[in-house]
Amino acid sequence: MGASRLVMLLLLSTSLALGFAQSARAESALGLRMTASATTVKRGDTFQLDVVLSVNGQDAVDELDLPDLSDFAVLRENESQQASFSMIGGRRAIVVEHRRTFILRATDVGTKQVGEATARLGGTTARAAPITIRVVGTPGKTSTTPADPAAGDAGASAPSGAVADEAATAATATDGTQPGARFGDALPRMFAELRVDKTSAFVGEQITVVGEIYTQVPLGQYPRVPGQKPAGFVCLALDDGLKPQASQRIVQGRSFYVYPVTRDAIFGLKPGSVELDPLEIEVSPSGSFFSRSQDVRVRSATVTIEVKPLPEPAPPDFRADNVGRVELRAAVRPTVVKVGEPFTLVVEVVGWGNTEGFILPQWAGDGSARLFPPTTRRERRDRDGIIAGRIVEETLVQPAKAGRITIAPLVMVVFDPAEGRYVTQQTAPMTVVVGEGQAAATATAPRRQIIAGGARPLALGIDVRHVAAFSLAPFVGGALAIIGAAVGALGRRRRALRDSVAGQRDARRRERAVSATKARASVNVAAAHRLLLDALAERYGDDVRAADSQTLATLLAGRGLGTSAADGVVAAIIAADAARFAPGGAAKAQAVDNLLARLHDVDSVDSVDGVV
Amino acid sequence: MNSVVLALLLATVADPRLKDAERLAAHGELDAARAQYQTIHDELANSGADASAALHYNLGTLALSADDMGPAVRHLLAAARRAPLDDDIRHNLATALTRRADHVEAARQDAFGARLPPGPVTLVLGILLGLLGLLLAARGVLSGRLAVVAGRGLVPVLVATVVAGLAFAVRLAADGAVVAVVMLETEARPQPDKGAGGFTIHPGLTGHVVAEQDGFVRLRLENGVDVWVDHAHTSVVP
Repeated sequence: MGASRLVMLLLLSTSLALGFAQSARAESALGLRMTASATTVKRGDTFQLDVVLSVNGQDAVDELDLPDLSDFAVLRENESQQASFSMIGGRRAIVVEHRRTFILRATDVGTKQVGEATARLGGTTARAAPITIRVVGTPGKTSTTPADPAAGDAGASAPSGAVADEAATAATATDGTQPGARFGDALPRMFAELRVDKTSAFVGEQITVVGEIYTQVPLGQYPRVPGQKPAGFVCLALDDGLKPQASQRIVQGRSFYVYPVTRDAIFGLKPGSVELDPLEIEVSPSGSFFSRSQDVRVRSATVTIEVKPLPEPAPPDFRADNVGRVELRAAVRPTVVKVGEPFTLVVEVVGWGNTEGFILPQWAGDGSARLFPPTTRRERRDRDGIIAGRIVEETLVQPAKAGRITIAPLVMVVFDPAEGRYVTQQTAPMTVVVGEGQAAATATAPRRQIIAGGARPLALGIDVRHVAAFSLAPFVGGALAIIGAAVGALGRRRRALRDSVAGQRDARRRERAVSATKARASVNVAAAHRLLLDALAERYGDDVRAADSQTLATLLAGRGLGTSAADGVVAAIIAADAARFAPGGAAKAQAVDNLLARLHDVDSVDSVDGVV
Repeated sequence: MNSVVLALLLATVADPRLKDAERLAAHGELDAARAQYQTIHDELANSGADASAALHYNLGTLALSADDMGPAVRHLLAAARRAPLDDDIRHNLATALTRRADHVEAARQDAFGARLPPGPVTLVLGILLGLLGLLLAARGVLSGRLAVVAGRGLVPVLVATVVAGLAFAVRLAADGAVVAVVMLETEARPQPDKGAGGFTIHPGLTGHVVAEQDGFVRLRLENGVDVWVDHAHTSVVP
């Protein structure tokens, strides 16, 4: 009892300790942060606010107070959730990141504030500090000076198939220019804009091109056009979670629906001046009960982009595709191996730029190991309109001899267009200790292939056939249960029988049979005589023991044994008395046989009527 | 006899195509790896054998990586049916269900029976039945203290056996449910009639098969809505 109590106490204390550990871990892993895409914006401009809540584990927060956004107009709001897994101390840890993104518009000039955000989980409260946003511009006025007043209103009321006469203006719509500025005061009711975030960029630097339809009447269906594919550029569609969605905007004091139709990142491949094709599209305004809608073709102005060459001279290790801002990391796993046992050299680059084209530095080997062709994994993680991502290159290295393999620092030179200079990233040297041994067989063993998109890897070494495990178990168990029930029932029946009067008599009969065998073997006349008297007393009453020969025959016959049988019994008893005191063994044996034969007769009587 | 030996050998010797598929996957040739697994799966199906949870998992995961949502959901559901407690299968199935084009109002809820692991449930029931038989036999055959102990143990074992039997029955019922997955973008109609107007449903959407008629199946979608879908555009989860 004492031991079991001790075990219970141990279990209780362990579970309590685990519970406290879990709760402490949950409490310590609550994080809340808030970021704005810009802290100084022009009046009427939009910017993005991200509120990111990180929770270690899958518990929901008890309370989440979002920031006060009353100083701004909330154009759009969406939520996303991302979970990441890691192994900590042999256990799987999960961190869930809840992201709420707001697209805000600054409506009034001045210093505004995005209020504090708080989250509470258990006893822990996380806070994200307020963010101050400076809104600049002229209060109460949103229109700008027209770029070309000559442009007409042709696009607004043109019938189906008509092309708005806008291309000739060749005005450049960039971030610095208000939409529709090229029309001056004669702003049409519907027009297209092709906006770029910059008109001059280095080779390989990202230029974001956004195509938008401005319309004062809502469209019947969302316009769809393919993205920009200008010659001489690498073109990638932005995938930062911002879905094309109509919003409303005030242009020159008039309210417009704005439909973003394309959103692409382009990277110049060679220096020069390139004119982007205008955005041209036929759109269908929604009709009304009184009027039927008419398709309208709108066309944006063309945009000219100047692609600048990279500064000369470039460092010797520079590769022309590496333009952006990156962080280079490298590692080897494991760092201690045996000869023939492979290790993996992992080179990882995280950053922004044309990540699809980044070329990672490679280790050429030192002749003491065999290098397998590397596998490269590229993951896009675009953020806030910038192409970004992660590239992981894994090289399997199989050492051929014992000793130390030193991997010299890997160097990656990147041109940073934001800073306008070349930046060199370098890893630390890495050493792998190679011990004696043979493990070549494992060199080509495949590893679990990581599947993109958050899916778990493939299973390796699988059995392709499904075997229904233990499918016979219920049948075997059922058969055992039936057999057990039958055996149990039989046993109970036997016991009941044994406990009854007849059963007891049978038991005594069996005991007498055993004793009779012994009496016959030892030629024991007295024993045989006693056994016969016992049998007679049991069946016909105890008084038969004391009866003399004449009386006994009468008693037995009167109590149902039958006259001849009773006479036979009496004769056997008389013969036995005579033989007991007579000289010689033959008469005794004969007497014993006679007595036991009568005993058998008596014990074989089936019923009280004495029929043998 | 020889064919039995051969079949046993084939069952115990690893299929070299599996290694090929693994190598292809390790080198990023996911489409080729998927084709290899698919060939093995088709051969198993033609021979009447049942594919394992792992094979369905790999096929579903590779389909998921190719954004082929119909086969992805179908194979991952099949894998989950065979190994409902496998964490990788559950994770990838949840990922596939999230990535579908159709987001139904009600989240997919597995029936209780579908979440019970078939092997352990069967084994536990078998063990309890066997134990019940032993106790019944002991109670009848033994005498004295041992018989009393056997008699006392009989009631809890009987209760546990009944519970295990119920779980087994629920699991059998879940296995018997016919679930179909939409494999191609198609129309969901209120009547089994190609002329009946409806709405578009996309690959990966699932539903219980309620009825079949004139080349259409009646599906009870995850949100409880009953629709008729072209039979050729759906596939039953094996």
